[in-house]
Parts: sequence; structure tokens; C-alpha cells
Amino acid sequence: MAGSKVKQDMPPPGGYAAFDYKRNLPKRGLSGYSMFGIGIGIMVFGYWRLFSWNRERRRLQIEELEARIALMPLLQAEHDRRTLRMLRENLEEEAIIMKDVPGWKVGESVFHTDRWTTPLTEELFNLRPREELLHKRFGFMWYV
Amino acid sequence: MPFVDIQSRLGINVDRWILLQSGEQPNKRPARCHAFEKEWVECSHGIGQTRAKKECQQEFEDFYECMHRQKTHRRLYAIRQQRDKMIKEGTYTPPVHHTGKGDEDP
Repeated sequence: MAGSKVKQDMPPPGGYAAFDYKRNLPKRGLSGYSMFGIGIGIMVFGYWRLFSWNRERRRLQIEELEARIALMPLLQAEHDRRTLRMLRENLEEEAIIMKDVPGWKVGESVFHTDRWTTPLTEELFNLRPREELLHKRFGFMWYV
Repeated sequence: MPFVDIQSRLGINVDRWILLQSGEQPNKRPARCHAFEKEWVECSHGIGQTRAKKECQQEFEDFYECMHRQKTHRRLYAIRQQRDKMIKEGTYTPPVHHTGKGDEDP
């Protein structure tokens, strides 16, 4: 009724240009199967590397054990010499210390037999500072 | 049970493997008091407890001593006490290798 004398906002003549409004979900990338395949392939490669390096480590460990076996006479001999030396020193000191104590027999064995009994660490380190005994007993332990 | 040896009859080894230190050990590692225990058992085998207590007393004492080392510790303690007493009186000075500053090689 008011006619078309009112100025209104209208589309341009010929209408708007076309634009795409439909869904656009393109298929891209690898498929699921191939992604699994790549993952499993990487894992298998990792396992193969791990197992072959473990075999190499086993060979190296066997070599270390053989070296230990080869050196064992030397190390055992040194250890035995050291034990005997410490026992001898303890015996001499005991003779000096206990010479005024009545009824004390120096170097008396506590056993009735005269077999060799491996001395305790306490016996070897008896006259040394306590710290040395603790080092010997606990020196290699990582935990407290 | 003493006369009915169930474990041998059934061929199982439920607890025989832990009864003796001198028995079969894993990895063939002997016990510390293996020799003493073996001596004691060999001495007292088959003669009954009353006789064994009388006749095998020395072996038993050695085995006990090996296990518990009471006499050893008492002896070491006595030596240490006497040494400390003598150091306090001034009659004894420990040698260098017993002071912790000695040269310890080899």
C-alpha cells in the first residue's frame, strides 16, 4: 500500500554469485589398515634390533665371564695372601696385648678340630678401626 | 612319620631338601658350616640320641660354634677390651697398619 517508494536493502541485480555451502569432508591420508601396518612394522623393526643387540650383549657378557674365570687363580691367590697376612698381624698383636692376662692362650682356636676354618671378617678386622670393617661389609651395597 | 616314610613312598620331596645344610644345595654352593655339620651327622648317625649327646659332644659344639660364633665373638671382644685398656693406660700403641693410615697394598 505504501508502494515501493521506501528505500530498502535489496540484493544486487542478477543476484549474488554462487558459493559452495555443501559439506566438504575429503578423504585424505593413509587408511586405517596401513597406519596399523606402519606401526606394527616399526615395532617389528624395533624388536629385531633389540633382540640382535641382546644377543650381542650376551656374547660380550660370556666374554667377561671367561675373563673372570681366567683371572680367578690370581685374584684368589692375592685374596688368600692378604687373609693370611692379616691373620698373622692379628696373632702378633694379640700376643703383645694379652701377655699380662692370666690364663690366655695366644692363637687358641675356638674349635676342637684343627681343620682350616675360614676366618670371619670380624676376626680379620678386629684390631682395625671400625670404619674399615664397615667398608668391607657394606662397601659394595647401593642401598642402606 | 618315622617308620612310614611317606615322601619316599610317594616319590615326592616336600621338605627333605631343607632339612640339612649338608644336603643337595641349589647351584652347588656349600653352606658355611657344611663340614662341621657333616662331621656331626656322621658321628651321631644310627646310635640314638642319648648316646649321640654324650659321644658327639665335641662335633656338636664345633658345629654350634660355627653357626653362632659366640666363643669367637667373646674372644675378639676380650682382646679389644684389653687393647683399649692398655691404650688408655699408655702401655700400648697400635702399629701403623691397625690405625687406618697404613699402606694397604697389595
